[in-house]
Amino acid sequence: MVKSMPNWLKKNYNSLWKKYEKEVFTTQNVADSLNISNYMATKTLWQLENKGFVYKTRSELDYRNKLYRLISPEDVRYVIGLYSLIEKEEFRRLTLEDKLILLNEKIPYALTGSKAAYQFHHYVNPPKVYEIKIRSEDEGKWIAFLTDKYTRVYLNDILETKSAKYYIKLIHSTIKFDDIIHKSDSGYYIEKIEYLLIELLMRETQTSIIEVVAMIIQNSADINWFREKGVIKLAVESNIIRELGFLLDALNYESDSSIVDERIISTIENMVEGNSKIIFPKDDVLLNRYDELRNKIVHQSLISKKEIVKYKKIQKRFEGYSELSNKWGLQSILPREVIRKVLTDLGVS
Amino acid sequence: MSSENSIVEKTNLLDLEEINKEAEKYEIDLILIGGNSVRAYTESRSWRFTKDLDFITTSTKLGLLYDVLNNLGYNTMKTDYGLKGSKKINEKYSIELHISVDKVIDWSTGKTYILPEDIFELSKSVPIKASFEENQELEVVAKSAPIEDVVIMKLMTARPRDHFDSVAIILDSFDKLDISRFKRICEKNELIKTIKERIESLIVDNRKGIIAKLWKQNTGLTFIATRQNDLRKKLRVLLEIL
Repeated sequence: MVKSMPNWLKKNYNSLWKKYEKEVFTTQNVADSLNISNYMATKTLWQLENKGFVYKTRSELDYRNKLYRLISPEDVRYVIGLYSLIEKEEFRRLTLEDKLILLNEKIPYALTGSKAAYQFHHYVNPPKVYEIKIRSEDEGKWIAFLTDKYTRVYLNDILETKSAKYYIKLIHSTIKFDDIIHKSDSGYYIEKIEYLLIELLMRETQTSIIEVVAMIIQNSADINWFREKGVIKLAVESNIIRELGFLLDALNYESDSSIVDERIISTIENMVEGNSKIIFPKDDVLLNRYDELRNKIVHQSLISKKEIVKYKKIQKRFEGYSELSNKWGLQSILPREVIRKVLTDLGVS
Repeated sequence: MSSENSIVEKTNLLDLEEINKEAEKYEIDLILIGGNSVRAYTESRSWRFTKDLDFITTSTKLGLLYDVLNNLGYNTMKTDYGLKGSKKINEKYSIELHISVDKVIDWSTGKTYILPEDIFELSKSVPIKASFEENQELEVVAKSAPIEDVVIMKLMTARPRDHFDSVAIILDSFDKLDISRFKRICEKNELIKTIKERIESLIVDNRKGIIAKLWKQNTGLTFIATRQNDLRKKLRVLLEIL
């Protein structure tokens, strides 16, 4: 039994559950309600936290202020049961991926974000954060199942206050998991490429766009574009069809070839009407730099002629896809070197 | 069982080791730049490199280098900037290799970075660790460009991704930075104004929370206030020296 509680901890956990159930509490609350010292309250919470039986959040205003919420006894029992057949030594060696494989289909999930995208593009190394889509009702089980001394689980912002081997971000999803999951080569479930493309495209950051482009370059022939639950239908449902059409067109334009079958682009083109006020991508960093640049150019009297030339040159970087922007009825601020670099790095051009 | 991902990484690292050994054997000046050199100066949470290998070299032994790469199975060809090589790992994936000769040209700005005379002499042998669990025992040693050159090459571009890399290096390895060499190289490359403007804009970005967004995009982690303050102080030091 590797996820068990010693008797003293079990007694404290039960008393706390009786009092707070799923309500939040502080270390001081624990000391007061269990009538123990602050030192013992901290020790109790630290033990529970490391076992994943309590979830800790920090105040946004002051990171030192911590709030706790207990994982329910049902979820704790479920996870103790899951691990009951594993020997202590084996448990210590379990990687996060081993845990996901161990789970198999017992609780539905899909690894998403960069970690999943890497399985499809093998391009930019993913960050240390694992983003996992889960059903909201399974949240407690996931926290208890994944947390150990190497792994920290988060439901919102991940604060790097303590270095961990694995950072997990749980994302609540109402989607039907059978539709979106795909078993990776390693044996755990990742989000299907079609869903993942839309997920990353909707994030509209430069990083996520790079991953979308790399996934398409490496898998364009294997992607389901037209059928039910294909990329085009998902993009329509997610209201991102115009952006998708633009990006695919830009990819073919930069590669000077048909990485994406032209029929796909014309199908999308027929679905998109008129102009929109969409700026693509809505990456905060790019938007900020672009706005700053426009402000400088607007106030030309404040800058030298040389600077005007320089800023206009930079502006061209952001507006490099003016023809495609007109064609797709949006305003692109995606610098051309973003797609070009992926193409070069992947040996396409 | 090794996954395809770990095989790609393993091949990449073993090739890097082999190239490094061969370069030493034939006394070819060859050092890493790009993502792998960022890796040498940052914590693993900031590693978002590609599997490609980016090097710099001098024109003196280019012919020899060409032969070394061909012997290691790379399809090599000459380019505007130097050499380009490609080696298939399997049907789907290959390792791309780029070697800039005597200078590095930045695509986003068209600016050129002339390699300082002491760059090879000051290059550092650094351990490059694998990032995949299955390769955790694997660590190869390769020569990386000195930190000052890596930071300048990252600051001179217009790509936010490079700015993230420079921020990560400044935060993690500021103590290793030789500030007077940093200034000297900027002067020699006529980059003082460019780098100064970039640092000023990073200070503003840091204040406005833009760096925090860039940090989150690239690491998935929140840029905490203490780190924000630390960055502000370090950027100020760089700005003052310029």
